[in-house]
Amino acid sequence: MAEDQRTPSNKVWPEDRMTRLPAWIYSDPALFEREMEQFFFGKTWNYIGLECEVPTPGSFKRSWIGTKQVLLTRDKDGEIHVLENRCAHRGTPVCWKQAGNAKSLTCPYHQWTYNLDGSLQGLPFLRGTMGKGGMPKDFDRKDHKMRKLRMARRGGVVWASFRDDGPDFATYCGPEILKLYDRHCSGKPLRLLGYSRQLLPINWKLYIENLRDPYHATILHAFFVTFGLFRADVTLHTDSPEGGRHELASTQYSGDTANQQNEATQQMSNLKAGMKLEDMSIVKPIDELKDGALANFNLFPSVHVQQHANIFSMRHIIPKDVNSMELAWTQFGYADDDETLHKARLKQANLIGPAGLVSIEDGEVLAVLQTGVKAYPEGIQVLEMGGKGINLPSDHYIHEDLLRAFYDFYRREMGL
Amino acid sequence: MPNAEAQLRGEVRDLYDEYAARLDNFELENWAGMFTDDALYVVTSRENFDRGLAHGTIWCEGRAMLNDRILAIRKALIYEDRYLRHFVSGIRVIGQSDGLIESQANFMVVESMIDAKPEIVMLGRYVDKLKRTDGNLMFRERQCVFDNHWLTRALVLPI
Repeated sequence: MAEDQRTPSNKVWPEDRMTRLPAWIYSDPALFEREMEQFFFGKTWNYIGLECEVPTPGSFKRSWIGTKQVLLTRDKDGEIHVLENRCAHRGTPVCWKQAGNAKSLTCPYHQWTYNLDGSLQGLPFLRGTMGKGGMPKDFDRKDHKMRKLRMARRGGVVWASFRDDGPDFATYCGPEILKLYDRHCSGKPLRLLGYSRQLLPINWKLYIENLRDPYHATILHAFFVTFGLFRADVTLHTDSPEGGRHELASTQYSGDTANQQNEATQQMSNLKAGMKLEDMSIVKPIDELKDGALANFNLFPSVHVQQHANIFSMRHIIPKDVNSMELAWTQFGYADDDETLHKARLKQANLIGPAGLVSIEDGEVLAVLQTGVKAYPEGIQVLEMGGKGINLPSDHYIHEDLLRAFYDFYRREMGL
Repeated sequence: MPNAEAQLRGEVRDLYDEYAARLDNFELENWAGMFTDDALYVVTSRENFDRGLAHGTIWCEGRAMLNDRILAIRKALIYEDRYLRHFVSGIRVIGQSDGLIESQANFMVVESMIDAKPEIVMLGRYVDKLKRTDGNLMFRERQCVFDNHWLTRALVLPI
């Protein structure tokens, strides 16, 4: 069988394919390389950044698609581009800064100089010196550019693909994702608030799974549960559209459920009924989108787009190697935010990120989990909560259908 | 150095040493007690700070938010045990304005956890505004600006 040639013979998916997950998928370096090719460098659209991060001609920002570094630029005419951060000469990363503004980009090694659209402006000693050396007569600058990637822009967000033969961006997302996407990234000008970056010692799929596991959220995240932000006695709409590729979750927020007790909350042993916040503003959002909803989605493979109350984040998933990934959080709001809303976003951001009162726990649990699955690659995990098939969309928290849907998609794509 | 300046610098040093000791000893409530009621406490990256970006990885306005974070650390959050140790050096009094003392210092915070070598969890500088209240110096504003590109895993305890 084809798949046996691609994975070591002792590494086969367990027989009960839908409800069993082998632990070796989190620590196999060869599998990781294939995932990069199939997903991040394949026929997918990847998150690059926000247009407001490159606000003026000459602006540039470094970004990543999987393990490959790219640049988001705005050229002198105001056009946005996504370039491989790679000199056409010898492959040196041209730009060594995280972000900035420049008239041109010069590779430090031999000073090949590029315009911000990636075209080669010039290079030293093109005609040699003292009649010696120099490039051959047929050397044409037009043949040597920083590679420009296929790009899509929607609602102030920039996306790119290494492949020219994949679907267009809207088709890739599908209608259900786009409905949530256009809800807060509607084209209304965005304002960059800043970044939080964390290096997680985990295989990137553990993070993808975490996003698709509402079951854990009701149990692990006491802070959410206690303050009524995310709990099992509220309906949660989840789905895994485009054949399990993406994931979406939306719920209605109610400040009224905070500290309420009922049948469902009794099973949440982490719920601290007596816990009261001194500053409730962190859990009392402003209903700026006028629908009382919290909505987020994983646009596979590279980003989790989050609207949690007044927190708008792009959680950029940047795998480093089989055992580690960067999670880069970009926080943003709207350009016309008043001081009250601006401050609400800064305050509520305490819930998320590397020091988030909720998300600290994901970093902790996943880091410990990685040590477990790495040490026991022969381990087999159970995914039976909510049944054995894929019953989506769902209107509750207590299921693993999103995980079964994801791995059904993953096996198909990876030929496993 | 004139006596008043030397005395102030000594006071600021004592304040910083006390701050570090309280965190190292996990006296979180006493730590929060070193801030004024309207204090701003921010932990942010140099990347954000230098570009004037307002977001902080921790962003607390008012002591109430510090108390809530302590409550979460003590009662709600699930995390592996860790011990932090703060090393503070290069303390400088920058100036005084509007009744506030501006001061800065370098910090290095080392985290020790089970089954692991101690790690530098954060390296950076404190950018502070101090207020004299009933004779004592308190933090009206403390921004912990870290040089790290990343935070590893999670930042559980205050810096």
